[in-house]
Amino acid sequence: MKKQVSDQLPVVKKQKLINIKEFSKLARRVKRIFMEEEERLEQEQSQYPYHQSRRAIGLT
Amino acid sequence: MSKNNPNIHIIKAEGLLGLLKNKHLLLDTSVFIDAFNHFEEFARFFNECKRGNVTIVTVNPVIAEFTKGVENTKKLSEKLSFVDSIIDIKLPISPDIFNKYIPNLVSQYKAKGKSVSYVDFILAGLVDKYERDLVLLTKNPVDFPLSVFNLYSYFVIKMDRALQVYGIYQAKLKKQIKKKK
Repeated sequence: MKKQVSDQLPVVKKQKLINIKEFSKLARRVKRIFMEEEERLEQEQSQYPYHQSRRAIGLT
Repeated sequence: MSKNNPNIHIIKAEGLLGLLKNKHLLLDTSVFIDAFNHFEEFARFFNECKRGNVTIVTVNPVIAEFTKGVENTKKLSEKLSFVDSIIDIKLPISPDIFNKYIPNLVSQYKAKGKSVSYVDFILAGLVDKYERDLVLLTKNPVDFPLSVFNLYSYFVIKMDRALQVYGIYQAKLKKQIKKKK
């Protein structure tokens, strides 16, 4: 017999609070990653003529 | 007040935290992006929610949108850790979201649905399914039209030279729809 998937939302006993100090460090690192990705994307787009770019074919 | 930028505040609509009490708050991709740009304000807001028994959730398609484009596994794991530090649980997506709720929403959206991403339809389907217990937090009002959803509440991020509005959307309750008919 197939196991039935519950239709209720899963509940947690207690929500985990964010440690703001640790979160700040992580957020700064993630922000840097996003900025690097943006720069890389801009460079990539400037290297190709528009008709070959990711934007032209709908990937960005 | 923020240490990194004293000019940024989150201004909450009256009664926002009371309205969210005991609900699940579903986060869209834009929330995670703003959460690293304005980390102190968002961390405080999320903690206020969690203290009010709000369960913060997201789904794998949103996590994929947030993490795509990473160069290596180290950076991927940093992005994933960031998501994990915010959410309490990842919501599973049951097959009826794809088989029942999304097709139903596609017909309700009509022409407005043309530019809506599939991830947004998944979020909309979940909000529709769990109409009483799940609300969506997003900065994207275009893809969650008020002909289909209720604007349940909102908050504003006030910056030095800009304002950004976040909406909290709830499905129109099936009872309300039946009454109208």
